[in-house]
Amino acid sequence: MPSLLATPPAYFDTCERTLRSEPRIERPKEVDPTWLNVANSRVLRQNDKIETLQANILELSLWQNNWNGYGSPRPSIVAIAAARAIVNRFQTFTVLPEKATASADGGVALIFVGQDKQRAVIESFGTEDDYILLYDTEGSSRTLPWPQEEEAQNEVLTELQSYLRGIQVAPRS
Amino acid sequence: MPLAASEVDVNKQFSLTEFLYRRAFPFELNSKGELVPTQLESFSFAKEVEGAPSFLRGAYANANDVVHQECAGNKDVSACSVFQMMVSELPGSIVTGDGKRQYSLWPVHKPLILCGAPCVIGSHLHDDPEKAYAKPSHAVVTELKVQICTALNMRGAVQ
Repeated sequence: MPSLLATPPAYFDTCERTLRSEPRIERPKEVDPTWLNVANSRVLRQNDKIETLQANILELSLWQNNWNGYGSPRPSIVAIAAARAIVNRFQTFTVLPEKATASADGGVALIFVGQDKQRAVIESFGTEDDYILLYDTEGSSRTLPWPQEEEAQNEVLTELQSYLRGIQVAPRS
Repeated sequence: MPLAASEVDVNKQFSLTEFLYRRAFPFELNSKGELVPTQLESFSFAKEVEGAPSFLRGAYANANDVVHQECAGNKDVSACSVFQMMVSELPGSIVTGDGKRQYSLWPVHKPLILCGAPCVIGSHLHDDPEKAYAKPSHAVVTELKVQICTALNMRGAVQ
């Protein structure tokens, strides 16, 4: 007597259904263009440069007195720590010091070059004498004290950034 | 070979066309090859004039002497660049922010035993016949350094 139950699918039927399904086609993945050069993104480049600067500043602790032959003292530990803290403040800015070196008076100098004749340098001693010097190749200059409060630091760094981009007028002499 | 102290006359007047030489290591220059003001020593403005930017005076030295060890405290400075300016290019006078005081600079010959040409830049109140050494504000000191660097950078490194 024939069974009323449907014939259970054979194993090959299952395989057949599987084979009948759309073959998977390898399509090129759509990637957000902003992620294409993620390794070269501005933020990462900025962080890399900051790390390099931090390492350069740390190396200054190995320098000896009279490093320039003019009798200059080596940068103090306090000056080095302060300079590293200042460099960290640049994470949210688009400008960066191009170089960090010892200054002739025993501090750390963070050196900037602007687009045209604008130049700047931050001299850090780790004291209230720290300052930003905005100057140009024609001899005009203006000194901004480096403030202690973070908000005020942002203001002077914004001013520094504008100056180096040539947005701000030449400093008053 | 630099002249020794015994071979120079410290009383010889500086002429306006006399060169003043200053050396700098590559790491003291920015990417444009310019000397940065923080690489000049600050004027101490104490009674002694030693705490001031040091140069070699052209009357007794040339650019080669600037990178000689005997003029650099026995330090190897052969990798340095040499900048030069004339005495007449020293800043004429600088007025303080409050406009009350005016400073001028003048070179002072300070020979070393084995290197007779070093001089430092002193500062005095303008129109002071005694040339009394006077202490200006920090902003004036910085401005002096900027103007000296500007004069040095105008000519560029000579060596």
